[in-house]
Amino acid sequence: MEFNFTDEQELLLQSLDDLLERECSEQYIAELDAAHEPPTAFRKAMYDTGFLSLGFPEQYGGTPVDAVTLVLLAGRVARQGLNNGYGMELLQAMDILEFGSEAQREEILGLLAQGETPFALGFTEPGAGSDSSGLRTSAVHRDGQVVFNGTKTLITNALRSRNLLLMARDPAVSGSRGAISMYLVPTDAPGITYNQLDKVVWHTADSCEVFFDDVTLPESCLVGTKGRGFEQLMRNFEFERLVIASQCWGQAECAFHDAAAYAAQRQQFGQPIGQFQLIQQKLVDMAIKVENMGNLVLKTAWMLDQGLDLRTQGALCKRYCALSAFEVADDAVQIFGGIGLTNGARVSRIWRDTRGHRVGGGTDEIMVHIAGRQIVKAHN
Amino acid sequence: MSVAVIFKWAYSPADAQVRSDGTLDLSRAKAAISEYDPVAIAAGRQLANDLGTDLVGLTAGPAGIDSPLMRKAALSRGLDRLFVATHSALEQANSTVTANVLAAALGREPEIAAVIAGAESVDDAAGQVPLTLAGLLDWPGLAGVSGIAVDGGALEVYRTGANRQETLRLTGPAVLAVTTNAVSPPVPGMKDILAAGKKPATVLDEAELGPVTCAQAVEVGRRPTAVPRREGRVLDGELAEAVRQAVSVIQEAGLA
Ligand SMILES: Cc1cc2nc3c(=O)[nH]c(=O)nc-3n(C[C@H](O)[C@H](O)[C@H](O)COP(=O)(O)OP(=O)(O)OC[C@H]3O[C@@H](n4cnc5c(N)ncnc54)[C@H](O)[C@@H]3O)c2cc1C
Repeated sequence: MEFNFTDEQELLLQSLDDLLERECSEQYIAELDAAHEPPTAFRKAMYDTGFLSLGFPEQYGGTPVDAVTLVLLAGRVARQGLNNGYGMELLQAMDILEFGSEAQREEILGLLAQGETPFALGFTEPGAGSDSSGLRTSAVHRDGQVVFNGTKTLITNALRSRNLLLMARDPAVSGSRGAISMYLVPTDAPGITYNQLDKVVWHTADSCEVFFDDVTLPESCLVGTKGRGFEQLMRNFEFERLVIASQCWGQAECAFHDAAAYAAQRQQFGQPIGQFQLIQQKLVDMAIKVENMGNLVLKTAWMLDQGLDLRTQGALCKRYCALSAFEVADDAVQIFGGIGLTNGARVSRIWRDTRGHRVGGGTDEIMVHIAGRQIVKAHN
Repeated sequence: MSVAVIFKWAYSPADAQVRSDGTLDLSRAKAAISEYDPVAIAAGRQLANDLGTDLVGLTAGPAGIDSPLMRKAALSRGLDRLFVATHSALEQANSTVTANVLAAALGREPEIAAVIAGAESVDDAAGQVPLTLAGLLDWPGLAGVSGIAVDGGALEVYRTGANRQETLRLTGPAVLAVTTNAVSPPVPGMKDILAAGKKPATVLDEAELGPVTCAQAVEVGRRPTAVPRREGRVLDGELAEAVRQAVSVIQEAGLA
């Protein structure tokens, strides 16, 4: 077994470190977080250096790359303390590159090149969260047009994106199979209104309820095959979980290093608090979790590269990393004491942001639901 | 015709641990292109583009210096090809020996418009190699170069001093050591890194380079000198008050 990086990975990580130092300082991230702004300038720099098109097919100006390398990069950006800084756009764009029309591909790649968020994923509804089959937003195809009605909620980046990748059902088809399709819908289409949600996590991305009231668009907004939307979305879900897990890993590592450095210099009772065994125990447990997260993420990415089935592994990885990252961040806040609960401390932001990953992309419990069933089935 | 860039593959002191006796432990340090040399490579790339020539890189060291990682690290930064000069005399490198080996290696390149170098190396920080090399080549050697332009086929070199901006016109090849901020080196992307593996690299070994016969200054001792302790003062209070305090601290220290 080989734990070393390849030369290419080593050099890419060095390049990324240089870029992070130049374009993604802690001050920059803290300012975005305070102003609730997305990291557009950083994304643009990532695009210009080719990082944002890594993994895209060559015919779209990208450079194919393996999943192990991608999660290393996603983890490294997250280690800077930036939430959702890398990986998600690529992931989303894959849906369009794979299933979209030529016009849709051009639109999305053009937006990526400008550092913009190409689209928001419109899946969750007030009545359909973990249970996606309960999705009610309707898409009625009539005379070359589609009419949308319904409500989506908790949609990340809805206000900042030019498009929504909308999941909607054909009311004429009963059940879920064959009913749900995927659409690329401009966010400024007449009949769409927004209600911004004031969430406590992920300040660099907005979250919204989105209302569709007889929104009428040409049928060319359909992505891929009618009635196959769910399968299309699922194709990249396991990869999404892996990217989320790698971000959790990076953020946890950031919180761990901050906490260890603070423990080494903060003096109480005449000595650095890092000398107290209770603090050391926290640091040791945090280090074990960070190490485990890295191993799980890299092994899962390797499995993806080998074309192995990820249903169980992806869920194990997402559950462990989201939960452990939050635990590490929580211990980091504890080590910082009161200052850790102020906005000036990076660990407080990581604590907030890692909490979001225990729900977004599938909850901790749903990961048990997915992996648990598989484990029992495999042993039956 | 080509433009050459010399660069050093060195352990970064940033990764070094200082032992309790003051000596450096480099066992966990990684080798990389010396900190200021990417600026030299970027300046060389710009000049080669302006002249419409090749950009050739050159590094020198003991035999162990050559590795696929070193080659790709250098070539991904915009070099067209690479010379790796290996010589046993460089096991205990000093700037005179290094410059001699580099001069011998540059003899393999038929016509060079200029040799570009970084301000200083990250480990020795002496800045001597480029100027010694210039002397060996019998070319002008200019340090502190902040810009290079091509004017009617001739090179114009800009140097910015404390109270002057010089423009110098070169009538032939020269060795130019650029300042740390002469240009902003681009960050190599995946495409550059992948392409680097396919670019040509030539190893010039001791047999090809010949013996180093120059007189040498051999290091016979090294000890750390006491570094003046840095005083840290945390200034509390509102920003305006903190600035006032900072000003008076600076004045008390006789720094302003
Ligand atoms: C930060 C953030 C960003 C998000 N971004 C997006 C986005 O961009 N697009 C989008 O479409 N959605 C997004 N979501 C929504 C997200 O996908 C849902 O919140 C998530 O799927 C859970 O759905 P829910 O909130 O309706 O909770 P529910 O499904 O109602 O769950 C409530 C609780 O019940 C548990 N539960 C549910 N079913 C089971 C079960 N079978 N067994 C055991 N426990 C169960 C859950 O784990 C949870 O603890 C985002 C959410 C967050 C927090």
